[in-house]
Amino acid sequence: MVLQTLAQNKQILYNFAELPQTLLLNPASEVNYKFHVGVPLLSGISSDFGSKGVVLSDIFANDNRSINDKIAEAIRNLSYRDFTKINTQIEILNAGFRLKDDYYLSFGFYQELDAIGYYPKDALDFISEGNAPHVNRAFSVAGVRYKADFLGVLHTGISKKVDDKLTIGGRFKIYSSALNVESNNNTGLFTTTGGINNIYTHYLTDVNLKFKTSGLIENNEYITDVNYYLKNTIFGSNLGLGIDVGVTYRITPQLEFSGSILDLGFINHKKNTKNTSITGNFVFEGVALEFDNDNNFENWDEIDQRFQDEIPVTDDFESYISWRPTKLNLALKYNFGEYRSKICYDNTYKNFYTDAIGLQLYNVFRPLSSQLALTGFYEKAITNKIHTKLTYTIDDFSYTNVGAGLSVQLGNVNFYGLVDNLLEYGDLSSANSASFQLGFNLILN
Amino acid sequence: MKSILRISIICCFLVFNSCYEELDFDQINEYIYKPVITSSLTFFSVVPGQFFNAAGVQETSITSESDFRVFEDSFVKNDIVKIDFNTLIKNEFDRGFTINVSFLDDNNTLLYQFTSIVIPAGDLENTFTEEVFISTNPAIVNTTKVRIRAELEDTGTNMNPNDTNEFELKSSVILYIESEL
Repeated sequence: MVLQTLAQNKQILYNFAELPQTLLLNPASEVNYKFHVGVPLLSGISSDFGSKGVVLSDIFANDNRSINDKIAEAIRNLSYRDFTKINTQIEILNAGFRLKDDYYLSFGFYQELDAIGYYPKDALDFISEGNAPHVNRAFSVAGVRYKADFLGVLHTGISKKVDDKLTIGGRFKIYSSALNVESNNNTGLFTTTGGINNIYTHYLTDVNLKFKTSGLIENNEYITDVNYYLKNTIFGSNLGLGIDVGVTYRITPQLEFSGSILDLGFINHKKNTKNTSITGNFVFEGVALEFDNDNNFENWDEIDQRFQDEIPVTDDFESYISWRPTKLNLALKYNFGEYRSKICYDNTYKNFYTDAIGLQLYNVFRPLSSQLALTGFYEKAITNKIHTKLTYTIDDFSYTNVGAGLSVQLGNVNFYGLVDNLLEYGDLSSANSASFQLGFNLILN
Repeated sequence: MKSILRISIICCFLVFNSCYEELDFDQINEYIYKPVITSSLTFFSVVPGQFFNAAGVQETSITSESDFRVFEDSFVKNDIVKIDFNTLIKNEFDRGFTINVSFLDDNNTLLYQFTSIVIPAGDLENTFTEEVFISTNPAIVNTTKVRIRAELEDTGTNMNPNDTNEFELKSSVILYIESEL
């Protein structure tokens, strides 16, 4: 099981308005211009926050309820599948140009900050209530699962129009990780039960905890210099490789299928790594008192020593590989409405329909299960320069996620802005998730 | 290059400051988590033979001292509000016992003492709880050693040193902790 994150579902952006940024979601997206360049630092800004199981207003609403009650209730309602995540991506550079008539080459560099943490329900129960009300309950540490990454991605991709029906594309990526911390696949139970020699026996069973870090600790000290992290997003020491592949196929002039697999790749963490593992089993039933020197009862020192021997904490500085979160996009789009023409890169005219509806499926592999999102959408070109898209998405967070996108071209300048979870925008503190993407491009035909 | 951080901060700012129900993050300062932790403590089992010294003379009491490290943990030491000590005693002997439990620091200064626990002969399930409120007994958190003295009732007759009847003591502690984040 691999903890995979970095998974902002950009369902509004996918396949929208021939934006250059759609090429990052499907390298075989159809674009019909000669050249584009994103406004540096402003071409693609996206952010995404999600929390499943608990929202800010559950805890912090100004409702005169005791904070202790609210936190207790929130913990009680959590399940081991609940998590919180944040993802922010910013394009530093994004450009592309037509190589030959049928090839479009694009390249760029973006930085990404991403973190996901599952709520360790048992640990929260233990911290807030202790074991006294839970005799015989096995507290599991398996709920300790998190991953955080900060990295830079240098990429170049090409799309080829094979014929009128088929476009294929691929993108090659070099990842440079500035920070990775992760812990997953942990096991271990803490149980207090009625004892034989004493009132209780405490068991730590099958403990196997692993914490990996890369880029965080150097010479046993935490790196606190922000610039150090930023520098490492470009050809730092922890590099990785990955690819995106995609296809667009026009089944009929009006019906189009597209699909992509993104971030099939890995990062090899070898510099400034520090990994900690804790393994073993331990049974404790108290301190046996000695009245008789012939018996070898344990005293506290011996118990301490036995604990350290039986559940050793070991550090190593080994390199390790973290897998990139592979994402899958599939879409079926049906075009209809008015039939218009627009000018293309080769000074020919491309006919297009003003309206489209369709379905999109997004999948990313998560530690506990794949996270699927199903989106229905309606797209409308108000004019040749103004495109809009409305989406309705069902995912882990919500069954009522309505999103909207707008792309406007003024001369050669393109602006796009996309916002998710519109129904909850009035009260973001109660929203399980919220995301947006926006950017400016120069697009030349 | 710092822009990604700047943008992240702006985004967070937007998310938390755009439209939302009134939130009061200061509430978190009022949060007190109150774990109640239970743990086995000491235990022992003795037979009459252990009350006879090398000369074969029956002693009237035996004493054991062990170190006690519960309060080494600064979290427990600083945030504990109450301790319950529980004992479960089985006395198969033909005479009563008195158990005295004393809490000592490194200099053997007496910091706290239980009410004497008297267990009549043949009492096979004697339970005893001592509640200690830290507010009225603040010194107890400096305990580093516990001394347990088991005193035999004087019945005028000696026990049989080969008797296999047992005197058993089991104990546990419940720590009531109240801590701010």
